[in-house]
Amino acid sequence: MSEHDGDWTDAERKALDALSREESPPWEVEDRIVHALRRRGLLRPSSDRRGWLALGAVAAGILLVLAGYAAGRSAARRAPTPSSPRFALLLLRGSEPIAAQPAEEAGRVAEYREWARGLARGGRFVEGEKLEDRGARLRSPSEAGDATSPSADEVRGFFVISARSFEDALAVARGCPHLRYGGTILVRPIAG
Amino acid sequence: MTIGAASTGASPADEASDRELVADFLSGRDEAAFRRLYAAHAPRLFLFLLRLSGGRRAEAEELLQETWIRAAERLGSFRWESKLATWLHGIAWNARREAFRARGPIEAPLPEESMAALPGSSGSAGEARLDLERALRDLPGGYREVLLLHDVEGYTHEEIGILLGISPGTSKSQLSRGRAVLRRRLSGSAGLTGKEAAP
Repeated sequence: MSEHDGDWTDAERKALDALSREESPPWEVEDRIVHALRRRGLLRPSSDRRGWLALGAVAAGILLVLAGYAAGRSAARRAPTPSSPRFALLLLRGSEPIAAQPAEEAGRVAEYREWARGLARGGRFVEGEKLEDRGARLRSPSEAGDATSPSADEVRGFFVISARSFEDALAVARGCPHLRYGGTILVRPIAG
Repeated sequence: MTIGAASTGASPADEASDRELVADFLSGRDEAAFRRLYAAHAPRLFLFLLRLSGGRRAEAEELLQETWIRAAERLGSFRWESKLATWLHGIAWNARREAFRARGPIEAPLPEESMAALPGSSGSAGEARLDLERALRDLPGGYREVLLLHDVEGYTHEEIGILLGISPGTSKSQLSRGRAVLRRRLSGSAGLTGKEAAP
């Protein structure tokens, strides 16, 4: 390994290895490709597609992933490989969250829901929930439980997804709108 | 020769999963089956094309579509002599080469935000990665292609030779020169020192 013959040093190799290998294309690209394939007669419409479209009827005011939850159950039934590893995406508040104004809340809900729908279409989405702001922290059986106060590591919600690998799960998480609103996402493989 | 013995990092379990996905798709050309296949391979293909395209997202999206159209046309005759991922990368590569021949390179400078949108480019470690992405983007085409295929995607020189229609020796010399150019361009930045590469 020397500069002279062009090989990387260990540090350089490590820097290259740290580059991402995957990035999820925008969801509209997937739909565009599907339409192109159908136009060419290379694809037949799915018999279970109606289920996803029905998601649009779910009230926007319902917390962000309730709609996705219904879709996710269906997605799980038709997951690509039952043995695919699952990952928890824990949505944390983050140190500089961008709070939604009341008028923006519905739009943000729709955005998260659309993201979950996209995952469902790809057979990746298993389930998810938004958590309420209230809660308590317990440290021992005898404790009454401290009311939680907002902190960067406060869990705001979660998704469970199936993914091909940890890198794949990271690539999926990078597309989550939560990151754009100052949130943090903790990606953890589900054991077993 | 068989392409894909060392590249793309796929395990036997991945291959079994790929075979299942492809069989599922070919059995009825069902849209849901295609979406599952797409979900398994599109993220890696897309980033590969994005880097080949120097970060031009519209171009990468267009090439991704062309790749899947060709793949859907030819999957029935795929013989599993290489990994599915390698086969798809080959199709992507050829789609880009043909588009390049037809309309020539797009030389318009890229806005910086197109690089910042690459995965893992935020934060201090992200800045180092961003430096590296920028330097990769700005490499001359031939160097960039060989370096991406070998050092990022894990192809061997023999495989690159088949993909690019060059000899393994040419691939090696292109790689060596590409690395030297990349190292020179990154001297003084954190992009290739590894100091800030860890998350």
